[in-house]
Amino acid sequence: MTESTGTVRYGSRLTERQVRIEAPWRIAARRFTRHRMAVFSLVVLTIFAILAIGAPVIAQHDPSAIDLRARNEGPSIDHWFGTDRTGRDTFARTVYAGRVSLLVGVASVVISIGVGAVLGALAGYQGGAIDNLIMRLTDVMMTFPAIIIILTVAAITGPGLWKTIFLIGLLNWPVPCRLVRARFLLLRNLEFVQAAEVIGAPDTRIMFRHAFPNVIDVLIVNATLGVAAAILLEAGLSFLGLGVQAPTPSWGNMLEVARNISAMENDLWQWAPAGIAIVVCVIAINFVGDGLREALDPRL
Amino acid sequence: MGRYIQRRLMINIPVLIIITILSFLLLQATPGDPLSAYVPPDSPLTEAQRDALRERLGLNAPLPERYLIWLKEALQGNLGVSARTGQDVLELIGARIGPTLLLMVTAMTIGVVSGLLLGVLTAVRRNTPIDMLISSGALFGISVPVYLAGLVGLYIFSVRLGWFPTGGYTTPGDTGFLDRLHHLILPALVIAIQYVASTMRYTRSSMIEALSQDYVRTAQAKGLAFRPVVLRHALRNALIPIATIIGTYIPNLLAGAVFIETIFTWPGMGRLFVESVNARDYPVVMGLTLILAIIILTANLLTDLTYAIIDPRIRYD
Repeated sequence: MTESTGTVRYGSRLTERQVRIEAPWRIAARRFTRHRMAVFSLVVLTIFAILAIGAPVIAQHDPSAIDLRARNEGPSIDHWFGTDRTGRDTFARTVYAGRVSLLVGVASVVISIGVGAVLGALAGYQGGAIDNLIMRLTDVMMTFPAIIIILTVAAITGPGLWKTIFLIGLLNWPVPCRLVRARFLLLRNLEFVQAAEVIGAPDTRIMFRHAFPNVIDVLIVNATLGVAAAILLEAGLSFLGLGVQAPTPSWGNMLEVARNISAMENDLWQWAPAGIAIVVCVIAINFVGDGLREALDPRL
Repeated sequence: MGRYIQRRLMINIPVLIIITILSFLLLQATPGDPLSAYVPPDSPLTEAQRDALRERLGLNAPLPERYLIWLKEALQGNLGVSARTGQDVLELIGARIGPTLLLMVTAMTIGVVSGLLLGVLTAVRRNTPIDMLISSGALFGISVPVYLAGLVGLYIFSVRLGWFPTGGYTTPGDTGFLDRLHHLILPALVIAIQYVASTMRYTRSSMIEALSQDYVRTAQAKGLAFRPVVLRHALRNALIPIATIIGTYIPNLLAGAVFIETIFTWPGMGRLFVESVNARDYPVVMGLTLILAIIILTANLLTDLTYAIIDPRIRYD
């Protein structure tokens, strides 16, 4: 079904007649738009993305330009959200931090989905000892809160943007792995997979060429929610000073200033925008994930 | 039942062994003299004494043997000494378990009790304005990360309103119960938010399902009053899945403690963890990882057992 319209010939009574056959993505899009919060959230996320991509155009200041004559200023025409402890423009930092958060979210999900999909496919399709080994590994990883593992490893490797991305990515693969495995267990017994086996297609070809397209729907939903989880984890780590390091702005390390009570009290403008950005972004992503789940679920 | 317990133990023990191996390997990957994990930084040992100690602790042996020696020492309670203060790691951690436990138990009690009440309320008053208000509040509650809730709570209730102290465990010099309570309430409430929200959501859906069962209709048809039907018939059965959810809270509570103890300068394990990571105090970091692992695995085991005890309909063999 690659075309969205087609010609259907009916039997004797009906003459030839144009009937619209909807493409699957169109059905999904129609279902998605029924979920009002999801559509609204998608708009919000688009705005976040535009702000992040267009950061150099939108922010009139360099996010790491220090101006010691203008420290701890309140909002003004020149500095919309005021300035921080070294006179850097908070609005510019919030917008540029969006880039970092979205980068961390998307890049770490690419890693976790990649690892999870391959291991999940292996476990589900091969079964036996491989399946057992991979599943016990997911058990171990899922019993442990990611933040504790990341903190332990960060103590040794030291913090940093790409280290944070890899750590988050390598910790979040168990859930997509299990989803893919569960789907593969079902697929393994379906006719089209068995047919491919019978004509002698190699295992890797069956797994990735025939079976894999059937797990894309679960992976899309999981990836969306994974981005939100990764953004939260990065912000938390950076808040503790163990994730993305200054001068690179991140919503998490912008919150770090609030660990000092007098700064929290007197300089609300330095940390509140980052906090609001985190909450709005994460809630929006979760609603979009919800909308996608409903849109892509064939049972509904 | 016996065989079930046995099987759960068999699953958890290998996991614990894997975790000890991983902690050991990570500790090996840390820079610096491995002996510094066992000797205080300012100890007046001669080079010959250091060599003798290295030999006794097996630091010159091949890796697998070193692991076994490390494990033996660890089992006897010797997790080394802090690279910062030279204090015994186990003692250092032991002093922090109490405050963390106090915070966690309080937060969990608040979370579970109010979550249950709100869950029953929203299930009984399903689709009324009250239900919608509480349900959307809960959705918000699980979306807000604990560190942000902590910062906002601290800002509003301590800094602006001045209702609570801005952090710490006690006021120096004051050992009274009320002072303790005064310091405890805000961080405990902040941590509880997520658990109120998630307990409420589980209770609500579990209760709605239980209320639609035949035995509830039968009880009502017999002429029983509404309240006993809800509490004694529906809630009892609705509690079964909820009991297991509560067990899964413990790892997350520990993760939340890392943030909340840092924000509220609470002298618990979470804050010690963050401090030690920042100071590259590897022996303490590894000791904490190991102890947290044991706590989490024990909690998982207890959850599994609770599930087996609480629901006699389920047989596990």
